[in-house]
Amino acid sequence: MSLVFPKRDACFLGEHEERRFCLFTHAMGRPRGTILYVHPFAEELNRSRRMVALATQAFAQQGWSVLQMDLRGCGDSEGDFSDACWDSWLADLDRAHAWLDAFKAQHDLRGPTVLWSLRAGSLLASSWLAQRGLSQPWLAWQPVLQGAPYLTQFLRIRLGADLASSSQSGNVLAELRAALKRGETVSVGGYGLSAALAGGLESSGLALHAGFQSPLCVIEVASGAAPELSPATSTWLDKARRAGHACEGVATSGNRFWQSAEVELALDMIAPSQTALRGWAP
Amino acid sequence: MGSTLSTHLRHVLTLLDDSLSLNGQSASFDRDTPLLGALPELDSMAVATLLTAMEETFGIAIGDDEIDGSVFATVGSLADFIEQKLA
Repeated sequence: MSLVFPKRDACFLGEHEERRFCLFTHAMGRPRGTILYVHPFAEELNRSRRMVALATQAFAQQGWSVLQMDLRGCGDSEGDFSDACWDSWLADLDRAHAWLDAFKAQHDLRGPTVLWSLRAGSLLASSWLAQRGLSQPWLAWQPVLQGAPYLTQFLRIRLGADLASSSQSGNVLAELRAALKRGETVSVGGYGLSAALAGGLESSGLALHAGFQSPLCVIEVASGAAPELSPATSTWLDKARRAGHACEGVATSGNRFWQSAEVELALDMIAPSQTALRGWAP
Repeated sequence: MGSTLSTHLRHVLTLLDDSLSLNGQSASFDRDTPLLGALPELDSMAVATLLTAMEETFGIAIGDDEIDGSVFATVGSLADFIEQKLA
């Protein structure tokens, strides 16, 4: 890895409640394109920051400028997590994408804008591409395939917290679901989850819309000396290929850094990502 | 019976190691190794992750009313829980 670090700007886009925190990492050397990063859900955003920062640096060193936006109510952006809903996040992606387009026009840059999503960020990216009818190269790291079981897993964080404090779970998940159904906001792991956001997440699923004609590269981590894609991801990729999409999947060794209480890394995800990016540059 | 249990135990150790990024630390665990409250990596998010991983790996559905602190007390209690689910 080069010892020369890319230039990085921190800034806010928008004002008042529309203020979003952005990190923009400038490409080094010959510019190849831009990357729009779509971050994971709730605590996974925080736990993945170190790994994402290292990958961003590696991509920038190969000529890719990377925009990371903290979506509404996340990270250093305006608002509380409970203010966020799926549609507001889709609108944030619109703004980030438009900002990158303007940046490219201003600097006369060619090359694609690649989507790079992590975990449930892939669900959001999938919704966004479908709703906007867009098609662009897509790098999906450890994508969550279905929103509903992922929501269940998120709600179970409350169960885990209750076990640690009282060793009695009762029926906490049923209570949380009932509250969401009544339109209430529930608190899970320090995050206020609105009924609107839970609904958007629950009904989402990783899919490529019919007009999607760009390449997709899925990268997963797995344990063991010979890492393999998870059966669910393999099946998903086979189905997408049969539908005529250009998809590849790569399994790498590494830790599940997005869920780890300690700062963990999966550096092996970077090299195959760079290979995919090189193939997408003009 | 004994071999079935040890198979479940091995699976549980692999799941713990992968889900909690223990980096092989679980190799030194046995049935009596305490988990909840003793293993710092097992925070509330890890419990949620582990439940999902158990469902996916063993093809079972776990109801929340089935879960209390005793399930996650030790490696052995977790393995026993899975054995009972699969029975």
